[in-house]
Amino acid sequence: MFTTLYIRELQNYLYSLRFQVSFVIVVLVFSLGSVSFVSSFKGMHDNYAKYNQAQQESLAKRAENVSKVATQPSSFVTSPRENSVIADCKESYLPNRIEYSAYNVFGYSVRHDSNNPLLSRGDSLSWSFIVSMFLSFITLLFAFDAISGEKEERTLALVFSNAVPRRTFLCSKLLSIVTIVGMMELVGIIISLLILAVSGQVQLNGSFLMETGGFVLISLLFITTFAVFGLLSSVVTRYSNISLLISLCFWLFAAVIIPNTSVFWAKKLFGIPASEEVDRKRREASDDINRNAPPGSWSSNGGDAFFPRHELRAKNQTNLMNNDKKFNDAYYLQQFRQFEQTRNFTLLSPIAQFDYMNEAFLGGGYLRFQKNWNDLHAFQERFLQWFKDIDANDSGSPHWYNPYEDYSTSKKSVAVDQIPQYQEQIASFGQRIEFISGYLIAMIITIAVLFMACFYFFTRYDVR
Amino acid sequence: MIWLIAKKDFLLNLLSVRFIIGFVLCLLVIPFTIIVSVDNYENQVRVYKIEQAQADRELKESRVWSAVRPTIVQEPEPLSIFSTGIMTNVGNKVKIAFWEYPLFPSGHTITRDNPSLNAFFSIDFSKVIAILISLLALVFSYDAITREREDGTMKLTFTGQVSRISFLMGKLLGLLLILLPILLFCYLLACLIIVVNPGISFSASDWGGVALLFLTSVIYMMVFLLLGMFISSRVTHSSSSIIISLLCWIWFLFLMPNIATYLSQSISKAPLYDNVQAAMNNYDDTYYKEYGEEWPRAAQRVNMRGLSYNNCNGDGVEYLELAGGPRETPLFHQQMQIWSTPVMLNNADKKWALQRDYLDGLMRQQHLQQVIAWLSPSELFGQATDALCHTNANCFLKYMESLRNYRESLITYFKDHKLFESISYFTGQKLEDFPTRAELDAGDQDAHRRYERGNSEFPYLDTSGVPRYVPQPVALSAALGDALGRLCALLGLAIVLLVGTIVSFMKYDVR
Repeated sequence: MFTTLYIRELQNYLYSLRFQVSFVIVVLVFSLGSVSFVSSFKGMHDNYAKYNQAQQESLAKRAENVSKVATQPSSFVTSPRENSVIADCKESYLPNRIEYSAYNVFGYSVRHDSNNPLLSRGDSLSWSFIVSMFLSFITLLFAFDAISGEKEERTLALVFSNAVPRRTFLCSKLLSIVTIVGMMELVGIIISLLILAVSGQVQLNGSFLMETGGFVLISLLFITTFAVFGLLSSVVTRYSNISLLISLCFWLFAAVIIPNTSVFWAKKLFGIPASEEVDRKRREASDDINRNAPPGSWSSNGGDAFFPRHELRAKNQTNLMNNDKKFNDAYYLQQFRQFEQTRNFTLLSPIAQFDYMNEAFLGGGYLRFQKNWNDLHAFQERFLQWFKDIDANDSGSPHWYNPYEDYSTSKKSVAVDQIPQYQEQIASFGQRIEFISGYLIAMIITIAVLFMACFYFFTRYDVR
Repeated sequence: MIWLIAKKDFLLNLLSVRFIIGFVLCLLVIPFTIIVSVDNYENQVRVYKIEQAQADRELKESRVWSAVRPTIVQEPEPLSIFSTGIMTNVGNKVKIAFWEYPLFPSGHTITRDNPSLNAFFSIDFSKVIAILISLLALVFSYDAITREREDGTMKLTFTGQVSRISFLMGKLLGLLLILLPILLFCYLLACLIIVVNPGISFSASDWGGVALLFLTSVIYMMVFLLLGMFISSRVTHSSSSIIISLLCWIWFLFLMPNIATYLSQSISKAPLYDNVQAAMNNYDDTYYKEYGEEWPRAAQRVNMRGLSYNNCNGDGVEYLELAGGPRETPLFHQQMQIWSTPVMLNNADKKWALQRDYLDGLMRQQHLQQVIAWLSPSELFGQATDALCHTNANCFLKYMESLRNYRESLITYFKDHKLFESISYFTGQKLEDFPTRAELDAGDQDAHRRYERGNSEFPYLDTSGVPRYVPQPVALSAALGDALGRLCALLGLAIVLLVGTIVSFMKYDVR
């Protein structure tokens, strides 16, 4: 019985106008997105390579003095991800630059040139965007009149005049909607993969295909959420136009209202002190350090590394750096917590759940930033140790470590290839699965709750 | 007859569930959006006040002319409550430097307290209106013709003396009567929230802008009403009409804007600003090299034995403030300053050529995006509202141009008053007050006292004569002129859809 119903539903959808128009749009958007990605990815890659080359040239200049290598801040800038065609994870809007030296990881920022500021903000045409904004919408268009539409056309009473269990009917409806939307998505992805393969910009290796497979599974789960909600809106009313309005309201809240009011909620629900307040406290503490520093703590003599006051200067500078670090790190922690709490708040929207699942699975976005942030802290300690080892072997250095200046440490030159350089480590699949589990559970619970509600209402639905 | 049909439609829709749901949706979403926007605006005003006070303090407390580099803080635009435009993408303050031309402001208000929050997008009143009003217009108009046919009332209507044009006009009027109060209600609610908020004050020009926004919204609503009616006149079933209408809606509202932005960036390429800066650094490196070559010549001219300071602050680029030390130090710096000023200004011009190229690249992308976005009425509406609220790229670029002009006037002031050559450019101490080497070598106590002098001993400069940046308010007529093209396009689209609907309905099988 289930198979009969399922095939009948599939046939109905396949011949419907909504399928034909949606299919054309899906193919068009996937193709446009992939062609644009191929074109822009090459540009991004070239820009990044040029940037890296400039960084290497700058490092080569600094390598003439090892203390400069250690003290002058370097920037880690996130590279373009090949799998960003699947989901860009808003990386161009997230923190994507981290400043560090051998002594400290100073801070992070958003590179405002990673997007053209003259353009209105928008998502890239990644697969994830197409699924979350367009396929979620058409899933509702397929589902909103699944029950109420049949009731209006009086076919529902006819179906139940046979020995058809309501559960079977509901499940066949759900599965057919997920199948039809999933099919459109698959066609879109195949077209996109073909474009990527022809362009040669992205290596379609096992890892990429595994990520594609994972994305398809996640998106099927996501489509199921919307399909179940569409069915729910269909079983709570007798008229399809009311079901449609309920579905549209749900979509508006999930896709527009909840994600786009996050900054407001972040400030109201998870407030943190203002930056000027933190700055004021940090400055006061710095002034205290300077006031209490022994006389001569700011003296220097460029010609004599062993000038005794250089030790005082190094201590003072270290104290100042540690003071900044103490205030900044505490504030960064508050910022991270605020961001994470806001993200958790937006999990009310299935679209946010889907975005975060993709981010976790692809190892991009905020999780990528967090991983780099933590890894850079570990790297900085190794970098400092490397510098101290070189400095220890230099008899011309008094070994008074000054985090900002080269007055009292080794000024020997060093080969560029010997300088430790931070390399981004991509999260392993194991870690990604670990990241994704929370969001996966949230989505499964959402589906279960919605489906139970849908089943409850449908068992009481007047089919006449 | 038109009025009768309109009245019937109005009453029917007024009692419908879609009206109640639509109205409740507006009632929930509009005040919330305005509250979010007002909160955001108040935060911007708070930041503006803090930064303006700091900029004023910095200028007032300058002791040397090399520190006189005014910071211009942009006052938040009150109409940004209605449409933020690109203002969330750019910062709010610019330090006028001679070393470089101002390109983009720094200090992003949203990311000030937490840069990560930049990842969350925001929505403003005009976007909510664009989404809700277009949706409601389509939901009300998709079955304007098909439903009458399905119910069999159309046949009945045309058995009488009703012309097809009258029928269509009646339908359109009825739909306008039902949607216009909702739109008006949204605007009145928004205005009420603004009026009762003591932290916001709108000028007459701002209220004029709000009135123009309302007018734009009415035209925009008409476009979607007519689109719904046009679709309804082309199909025979309401179920088909709603599906096509909603697919058009999502295409225009959510897909097209992103397609336009993404396509423009992939068609027209812009370099990474970091790479532009690397090229600019090459000019700076040349400057430093030449500076190093000039150094011994300047030292020779003032017979300097070796450069020594007692008290010196500086940023290594423009700002230098020194006090105490031997007299040859200020003399040497004066010589270097006379040499470096034209070189530095020339260097800034060379760097500006690179920056200009970069800016041109960004502007090309922006123009392309605007052209592609003309395929969507909601983008036309968005561009028109941004222009009316003075938050579009055009206003921003004009503002930056005015800042570059201000920089020129500041340089002219410095040149006219011979400040670059003056010793007060880098010290508050009189030249005669610096001890000579001979006085120091002779062990003169007074000379040693003068040698030990610090920067804080000297008074602040009188900067009252320094030209101030005066922001040019955007006149309502200028804003209207900026938005006029989009408004005409929207109006033209409405007319085309009206004609299309009439033509299509003339051939419609009413049976």
